[in-house]
Amino acid sequence: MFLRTASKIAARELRASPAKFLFVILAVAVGVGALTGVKGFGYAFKGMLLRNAKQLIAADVQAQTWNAPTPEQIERVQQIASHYGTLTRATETISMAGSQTARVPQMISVKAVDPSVYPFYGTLTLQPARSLADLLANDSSVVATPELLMRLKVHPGDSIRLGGKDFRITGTLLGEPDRLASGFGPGMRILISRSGLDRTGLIQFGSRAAQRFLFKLKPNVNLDQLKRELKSTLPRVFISDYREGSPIVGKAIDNTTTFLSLVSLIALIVGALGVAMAMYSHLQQRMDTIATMKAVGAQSNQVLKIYLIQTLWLGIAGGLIGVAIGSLVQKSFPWLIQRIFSLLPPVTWDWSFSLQGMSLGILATLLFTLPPLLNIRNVRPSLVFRRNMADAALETRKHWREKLPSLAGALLILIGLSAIAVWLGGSWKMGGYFIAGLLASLLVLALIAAALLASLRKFVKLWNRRLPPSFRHGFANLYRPGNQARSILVALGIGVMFTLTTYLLQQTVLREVTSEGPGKSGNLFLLDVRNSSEVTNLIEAQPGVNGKVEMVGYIVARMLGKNGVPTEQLPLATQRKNQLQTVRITTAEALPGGLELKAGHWWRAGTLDPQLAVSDESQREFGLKLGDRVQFQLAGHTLNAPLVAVFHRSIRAPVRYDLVFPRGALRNLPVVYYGAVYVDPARIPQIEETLFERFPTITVMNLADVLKRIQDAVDQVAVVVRFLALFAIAAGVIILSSSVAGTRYRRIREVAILKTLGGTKRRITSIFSIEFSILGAVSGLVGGVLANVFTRILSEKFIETSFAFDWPSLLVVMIATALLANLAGWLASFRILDQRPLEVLRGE
Amino acid sequence: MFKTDTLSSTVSNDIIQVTRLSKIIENPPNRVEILRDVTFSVPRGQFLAIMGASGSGKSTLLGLIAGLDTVTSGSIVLDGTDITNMREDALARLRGRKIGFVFQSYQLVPTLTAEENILLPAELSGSNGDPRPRARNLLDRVGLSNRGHHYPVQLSGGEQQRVALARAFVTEPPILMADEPTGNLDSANGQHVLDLLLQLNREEKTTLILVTHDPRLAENADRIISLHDGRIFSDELARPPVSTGMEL
Repeated sequence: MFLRTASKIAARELRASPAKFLFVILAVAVGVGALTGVKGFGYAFKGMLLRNAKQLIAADVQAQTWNAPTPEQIERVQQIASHYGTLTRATETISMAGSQTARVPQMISVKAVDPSVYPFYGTLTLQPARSLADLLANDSSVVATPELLMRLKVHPGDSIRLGGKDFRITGTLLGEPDRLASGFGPGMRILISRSGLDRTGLIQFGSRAAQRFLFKLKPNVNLDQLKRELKSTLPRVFISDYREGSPIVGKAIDNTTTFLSLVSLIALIVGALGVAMAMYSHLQQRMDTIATMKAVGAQSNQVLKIYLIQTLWLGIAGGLIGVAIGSLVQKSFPWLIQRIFSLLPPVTWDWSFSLQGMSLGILATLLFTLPPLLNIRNVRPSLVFRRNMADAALETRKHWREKLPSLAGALLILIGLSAIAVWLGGSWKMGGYFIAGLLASLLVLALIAAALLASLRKFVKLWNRRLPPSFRHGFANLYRPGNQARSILVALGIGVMFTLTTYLLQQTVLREVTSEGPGKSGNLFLLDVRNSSEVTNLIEAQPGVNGKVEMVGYIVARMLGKNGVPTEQLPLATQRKNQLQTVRITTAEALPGGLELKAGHWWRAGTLDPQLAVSDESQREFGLKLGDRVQFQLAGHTLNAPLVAVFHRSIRAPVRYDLVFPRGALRNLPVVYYGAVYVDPARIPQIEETLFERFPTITVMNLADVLKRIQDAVDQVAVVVRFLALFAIAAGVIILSSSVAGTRYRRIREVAILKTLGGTKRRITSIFSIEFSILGAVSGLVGGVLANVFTRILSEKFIETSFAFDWPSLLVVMIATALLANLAGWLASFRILDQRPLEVLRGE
Repeated sequence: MFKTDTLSSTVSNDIIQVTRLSKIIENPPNRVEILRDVTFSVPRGQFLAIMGASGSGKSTLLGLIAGLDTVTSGSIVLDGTDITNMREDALARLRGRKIGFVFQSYQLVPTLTAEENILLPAELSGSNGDPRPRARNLLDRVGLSNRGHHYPVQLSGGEQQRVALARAFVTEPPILMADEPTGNLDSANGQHVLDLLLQLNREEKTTLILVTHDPRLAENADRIISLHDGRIFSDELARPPVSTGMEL
């Protein structure tokens, strides 16, 4: 019965201050929007992967390996295939391509297929719209992407140079169904026939290329049997089939969705915190009304109902707007990742995610407003006799029994949030980690905020007379009763922390990549070098080359046995034995940087004797000990080398060293090298040109390109995180604004009193500005310090690099947050300065 | 008691001069004349009570004299300064120097302690020297020396009004304006506040303008102006003006 009346009263009150409630609604909407958008897109993407599984691999089953298969292995796979259906191969690698019109060669992806059968599923988009078999009719034709045509300044009909041979461009490649499957990046690509690839001479023993065996199956074949047979034939093979969608991409999408959902949850929590703040200040202003209602006979529960209904409406309104924002977020995701994925899901409206987002929004709103709502029970009707004292009424000391509802509310919030986190995180463990991390951060932020406010209070007390009055009042406003400085600090601090951590980590990764790598001072990198000494001599003779070319060689080998015992008989797990079928051996002279000798001794530079050094990881996995004699088969030769050294490889090591031989010991074998050299940046194009002319199969990357690729990769992750971190900051700003708006009536009266007592507009403006600035700067400081600490922990733990406290960033965020706080504060209060004091004081 | 209509003749001694003052609120189609053609002046040191029924315009008159609102027509000169068309900030500065205020509903800043409330006008006017000794002295004189660190919410109505009194005197203003200062208090507390107000007024030698509808309060005044419907209905001297040694 009362519900109708309560709804009426609730509606009346909502009408009274629409601006404030708009803030509340927006705060909820931001969080809900992020959640629905992320979840919805993740779901749509996974659905797309499953629906288009065959097209995404262009086959029913795909077996992919990064190691060039031997002729025997290929023959065996062909035998297997004849049993189950049809087979075709796709090989993908990178190389340099040049043209008559573009002076500098470009790095491109080369994909070789059998044009008569490829693709088994899905379609290629080509221009002219002819079949691939038509366009790649001979071994000197290629089709190329528009980006390649543009960069090499060529058109269909022109020729490009690849591996020292000329190829005619017969068409433009606009789309490939299985672009995701190979793992090679987007951009400049060509399709070529398998015979065309042979003509380039790019694929030789040890070349880095992805080999994909694609199967089109007969009906009703035993898929699992096929996979087992393939696994036993090809070591280190990755098999996927049409039932799984694209498992690697799917897993990546799952992880990303979970991560982003949890970040969105933070945005929602910060938003809900804003709602709690706004509701708190709203209730503070309504103390008189509540007391009056109680005085005329309303029961606590009835009053509670009114504000509960109000909260519910706000939650629903926020949720609805959030769902709308979510669909925008969902729509913007394809735009954000279009450079990575050529196949993007159609954005469809999904009610289940909208409903989930809405319920989470309402749940979070209700949870967070519980403590201030439950406080309604403590409002005494006698308050009605104490007009003008309402402002600090909620702050007065309470008996512990009166605090019980708030404590129960806090406990409920914790349980509710944990449940949401477990649900969004997909596991108890993930949810647990999230909630523990969040609680720890909130606690640290709250403690730092409290400590800072306490020191500020002490500072003002100590320096009372020496501070200008505006400063004293501005400072003191922060710890006065009823002020929500601590909550604002926590919310803004969290936003700043996220944004800055992302930025600092991004910078650390970039710095790390640029400062390390083969040849620390290199800015030109060479891949797939075969004649290392000739290439070295050529480069070192060029003008603008400073210092030596650093070369690291590698060769693929098979471990035959240890101390005369064949690998098959070693007490190792089958998986390890399989791994030993294809191992990568690296060459080195002196102990390379980034490696730490753990046992034994390193060889003399220039030695020709076969000797082996292994990483502690490989030593453990393959059960090796110093003095063991290990037999390898490399390119048809057998080498027997004693294990002389064990090293620890830091993540910073420029090359993934596992099994290392002296360079001299492999002098007559087809070792592939990669190298680095520092070249005067202005001379790089010329050297690239010379190298391409003399050694067309060598891939050359300059630092700027590498950096751009890394920057792009890092940016793609960072942009999403930053997007959501900005949400958190926006929520912080909304909290600040709504908190200031919440104290609007108090401020209006204060301004009127200050004006009456002689305060000029300038003086009052400076008091408020100082209050907002300090609030912003302290939030920036707390968030900035935490971001630096987090970056340090993450850098040391995951990137294994040192991180020095970034003072300039701290200064920048402090100033930026102070400006932001002023903007938010003044947006909510600039009009009150113009009110005439008499109107206000008489209107009391 | 005698009637007079020549009270504004002692020009140089008048601290307040109000000439043909009108205040009209236009809210089409409504037009409310709150004050009409009000003229009077107040000699330095006088205790003037402005009386009238509710809605007679007395509080508006007080607000206009203090520059808290704008006049529709007429002029107001405060201690030799014409404030009629003064800018808001200049008015605020003038108030800070010349006027102390006591309101019916105390108007203390709820987030400041009693002592901080008292210090506020001194701080706002940027006066030199440490105002704290005077603030504490005033707190002591209103009997609240041990409540300086209490927030308004922790004080009773009477105590809050005593803090407001102390605040009004802290900058040693030549004029004190009080709008129904005992209106929210019971008779005992109201009497106590009134006694303190009069005592401080005597000690500080301020010109006091008191707005009230209570004849018993007005009995203490040197002069009583009664308003009716926005006009001066009567202007009476209750006793000879207090000597300030400045009369011609």
